Amino acid sequence: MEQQKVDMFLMTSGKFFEGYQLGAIKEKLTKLDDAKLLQLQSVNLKDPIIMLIVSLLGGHFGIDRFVLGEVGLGVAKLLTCGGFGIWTIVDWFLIMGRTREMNMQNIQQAMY
Amino acid sequence: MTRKNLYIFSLVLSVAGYALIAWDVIDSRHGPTVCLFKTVIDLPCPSCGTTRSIAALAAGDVYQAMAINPFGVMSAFALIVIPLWIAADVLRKKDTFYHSYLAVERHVARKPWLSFLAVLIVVANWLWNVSKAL
Repeated sequence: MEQQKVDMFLMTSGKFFEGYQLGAIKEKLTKLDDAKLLQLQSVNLKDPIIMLIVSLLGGHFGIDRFVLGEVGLGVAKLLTCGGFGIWTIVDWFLIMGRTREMNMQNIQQAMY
Repeated sequence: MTRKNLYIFSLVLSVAGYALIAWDVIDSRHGPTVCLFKTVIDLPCPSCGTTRSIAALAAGDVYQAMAINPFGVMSAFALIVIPLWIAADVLRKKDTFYHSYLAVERHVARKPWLSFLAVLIVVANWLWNVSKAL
């Protein structure tokens, strides 16, 4: 893939990943075929800030975990009143990192 | 989530659930309110009443358990099945619980109507909880 396209992708999607992951993504993208770009752009990446807002507002009902695709944890969180109130608060601090991790997993699936 | 993390997390949640039920049964004041939503907003959440429901179920009153919160019956089932399933997996050195968990997650992700139905049930139960003033 052309360097310019790689930089453009990282500029628009960089916020969805951890800083330390960007180097590996850049390296992988430069080796990828141009045809893969469209596929990469169609990957459903979640914004960590939006997920934090979802977690603050609906974390008690497990909505943040449902949105991330972790249905099992979402149901567990819902049935335990947000993990007896503790898990809800813990997730306010963890959800942004978890979102970036899930984004990385999703983009890795699309790259291979 | 790795197999080890899932098993540890499920067991910790189960132990916390059993501890809360024990507290509710032993303490005549019905234990503490662990629901953050109810404490802050003063309205019950969809799962409020689960402990009371399980306590009623333990006393053999299935009708009362369903009337307090049907999620309690679901949770009681999960509290019995999940620790036993994990124990069986650990003893037999297998990971059937982990694979079933992943399979259900994948299945739900492929069928959005299932999520929609679940949301409807949760909202309906929530409205019922509010009307019962749990």
